[in-house]
Amino acid sequence: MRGMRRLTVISLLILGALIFLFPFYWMVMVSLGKPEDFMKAPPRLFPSSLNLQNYTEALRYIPFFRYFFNTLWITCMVTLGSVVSSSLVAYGFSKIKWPGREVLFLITLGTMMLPPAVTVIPLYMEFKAFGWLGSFKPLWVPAWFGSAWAIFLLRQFYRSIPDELLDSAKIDGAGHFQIWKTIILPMSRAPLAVVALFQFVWSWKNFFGPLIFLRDQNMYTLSLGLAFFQSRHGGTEWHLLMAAATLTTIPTIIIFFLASRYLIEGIKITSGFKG
Amino acid sequence: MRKLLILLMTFLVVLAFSRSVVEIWVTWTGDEYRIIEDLVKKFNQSQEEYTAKVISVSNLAVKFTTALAAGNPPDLVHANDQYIAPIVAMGGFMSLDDMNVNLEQFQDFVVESVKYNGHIYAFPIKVSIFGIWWNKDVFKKAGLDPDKGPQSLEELVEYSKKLTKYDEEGNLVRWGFDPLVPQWNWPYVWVYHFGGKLIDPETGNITIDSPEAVKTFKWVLDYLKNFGMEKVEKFRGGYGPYWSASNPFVSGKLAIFYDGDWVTHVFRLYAPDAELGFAPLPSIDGKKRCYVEVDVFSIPVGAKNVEGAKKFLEFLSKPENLIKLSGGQLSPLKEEYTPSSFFKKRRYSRKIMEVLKESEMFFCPKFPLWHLYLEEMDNAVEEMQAGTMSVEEALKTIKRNLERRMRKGK
Amino acid sequence: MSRKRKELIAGLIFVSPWLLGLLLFHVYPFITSFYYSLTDFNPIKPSEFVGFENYRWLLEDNLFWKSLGNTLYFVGIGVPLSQLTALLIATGLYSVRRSRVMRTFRGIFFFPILVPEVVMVLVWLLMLNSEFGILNSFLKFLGINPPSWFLSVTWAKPTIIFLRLWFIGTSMVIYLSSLNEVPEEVIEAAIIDGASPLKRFFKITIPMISPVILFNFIMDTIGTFQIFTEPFVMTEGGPARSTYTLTMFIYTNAFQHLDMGYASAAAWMTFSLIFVTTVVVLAVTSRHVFYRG
Repeated sequence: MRGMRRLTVISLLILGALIFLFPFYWMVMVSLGKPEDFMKAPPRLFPSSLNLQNYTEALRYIPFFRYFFNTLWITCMVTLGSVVSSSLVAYGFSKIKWPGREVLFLITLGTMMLPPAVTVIPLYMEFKAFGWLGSFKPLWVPAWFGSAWAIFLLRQFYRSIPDELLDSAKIDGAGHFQIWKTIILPMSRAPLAVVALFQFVWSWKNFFGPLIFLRDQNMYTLSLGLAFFQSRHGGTEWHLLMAAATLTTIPTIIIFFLASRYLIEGIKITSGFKG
Repeated sequence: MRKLLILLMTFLVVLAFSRSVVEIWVTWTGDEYRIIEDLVKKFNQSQEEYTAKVISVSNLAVKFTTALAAGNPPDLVHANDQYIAPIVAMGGFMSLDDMNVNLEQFQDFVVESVKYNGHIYAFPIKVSIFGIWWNKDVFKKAGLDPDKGPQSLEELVEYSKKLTKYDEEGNLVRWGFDPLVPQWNWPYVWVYHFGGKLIDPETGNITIDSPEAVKTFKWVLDYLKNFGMEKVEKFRGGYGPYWSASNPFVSGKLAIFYDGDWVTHVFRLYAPDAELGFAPLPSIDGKKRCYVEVDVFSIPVGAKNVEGAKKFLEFLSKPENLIKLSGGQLSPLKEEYTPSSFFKKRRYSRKIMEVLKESEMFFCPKFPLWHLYLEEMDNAVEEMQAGTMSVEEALKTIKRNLERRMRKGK
Repeated sequence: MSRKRKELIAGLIFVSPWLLGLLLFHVYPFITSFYYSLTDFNPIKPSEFVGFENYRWLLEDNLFWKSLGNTLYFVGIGVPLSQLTALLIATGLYSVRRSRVMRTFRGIFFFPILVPEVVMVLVWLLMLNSEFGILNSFLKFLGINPPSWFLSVTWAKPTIIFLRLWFIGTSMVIYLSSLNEVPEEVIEAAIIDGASPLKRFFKITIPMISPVILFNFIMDTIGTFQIFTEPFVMTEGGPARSTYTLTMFIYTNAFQHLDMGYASAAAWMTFSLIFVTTVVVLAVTSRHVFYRG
């Protein structure tokens, strides 16, 4: 009976997995095919020929490389900023005792519940006053001031580091910054990697931010460029669009294969599990 | 010290001779875009002060209002006469009364269309005339007179039925006529063809719920129901991009098409051998009417290089330059100012001018909330077709929502 | 300087980027948006104070009510469906947790969350196209007459809910972790007592992971209340505004109609709604949630 049940579960999981993977299969198949293969009812299940030129055409159809580098630039700046600032801030919330620390931390948690829709309009006007509208700054500068959930995650981690480790350094006269740089930072490779990965993925996917804050078409990110790809030519060249979509998904796939373990660990830790 | 001075002088000299940029936003893509790009190149070569840069912007309306809000609009923006009133009301366009351009050369109705509240707010570029088009070959094969279009609404329905083809399962393979092609329709135009108006010219009231308007959409819905709403929905899903060989009209999915005269440009690119017929969309009272739109360039409030923008408009106003932008069949200029090469290159311009002589031209009303009117109308059209609202309800909703906005603005 | 003083200064220095960021990018905008909601504010014209006028207009605006209704639909139907799917998949993975394939399966179900939503929407538009979409061809093959999915007023919202099922990766991982933490002894005891697997699931497992279910529900609810990208890219809020959401209402009014005061009022209504819903959910479920020691 046990075996029967196990078999059922595995079959269902296989079915589920196939369904989950199907859209990606379709995306790649259409990207490799000719329009005639798929713009008919019923469409073929795989292309009649391998049309890799769709990929080169897609690169010219939309300014793919430009969008790619825009997205990469913004995302790297966000990732770097989050890692550096959140680590510093989390240290301040965990390894230094000062009055008001817990209250401020609670407020920090509160901001995680703040819907972006509420703050976006004043943020827009703020950025306008700073003269940042039309540049990439609104998308990456705030990350350098820290990110609430990253601070939370790192604080959890730092709290688990025993104070005795720091005491010997303190006795030797090291200041907090020294301690942070020479002890804490090297120890936090794993959680920092988690922060970096999450911020990278989030920034790579981000649609709303670029939609609101970017002005010139040549500054668009991939998400934005893809979304407008449709209306650009008064209709859709699906084989090219799917090629562009596949290219956009590749960095994500790379991250997945290299680092999904970290991401999953990170989710566990943030939600309070021991991981 | 000497070296520094020389460097500084060089820098200042370069600065003095460097050109300032004029940023131009247009909605055109593909072939239409190439034309304006060439003109911009010509402008840049013709003088030393300014470098114009033209950018094709998708979703221009949205991007433009956003840029206005951000305080960094382009120096020139491509718009349509419909949007002059709303954007001026928003405080978005500069007055061009002092533009150094010969307005005499334009046809009278063109000059009228760029005026609002007594001032000029736009520079006219081209004129588009709307009506029904058909492929003469397709008509011939169906046994219809290729040179004469349907003269009445009844004939339109008749022709459409004759031209519609089905497959073995009863699905549409070719449809005679789609009165509301998704994302490429002008629902308000139909109201005029049924003798109605969108705004009462005397009171300024919204008249979208008038009996004529109700009749209009009931007629359209009945027409659609005749072919089956589900079948229509499915068929529409297969329409290809407009500027491509899979344009539903070019590819033969639709036999009769309501569109502006730029459709001849599409055919020139993707089906140059086809011969098109043109007639005004029939009206319920038998009168001949044609909807006309005027494309314009305007200078946004907050533009950084107003001088440069005006210089470009001066350059563009020269007839030999301006008519290049008229990809359709009509010239915005009076006949005496239009170079004869214009008519030679356009197969249908004489025919269309003949039609125009017999027809009454009409335009969009100049209404400060026109963008909202369009939004509400698009939504109402979707609701009516989906059956979620009756015609009367949908039209009343447009009126109610607009009146609420009008009251709010006060 | 006293030790305490030194620590305070050090603490503040370390926390200063966040402090500044908090004020600049969270607190100030939060308060200002309320102020904006009380004004008639167009960014290129001078603004004027109008008190609660905007809120009054909102309540009369049937497009606002429609956005609200649509958003509540997404929350009320989408969240439970997504969570159920995530839990089911997690349970399935849990039951094969010792096998080598578990990691692979987990990866497959987790993967889509790394993919930009825009990409998923575009693939959906292709797959669910009424004429040449693969789904409709498949359904026709089975003898079912399929609707025109995102072109249909009835089916557009369900289509989006269906799409969002692909994004259950985070919830699923959390459920899986929580299942792993249910102490084996409790399950063993139940098995000895003769409880059937179904009974064990509902009487023991669910209560033991109830805090996590609550957590996931609340996070998903807050997120879904703000749904924007999918309806915006897929159908632009159509057809007939059937997928027009609250965030789209805010976006359109703020950045297309340049009516920022009005949009801010709508944003505050949305926020209040999210807040009230969260509080209510927490209150109502507090009795049923079992927090371990």
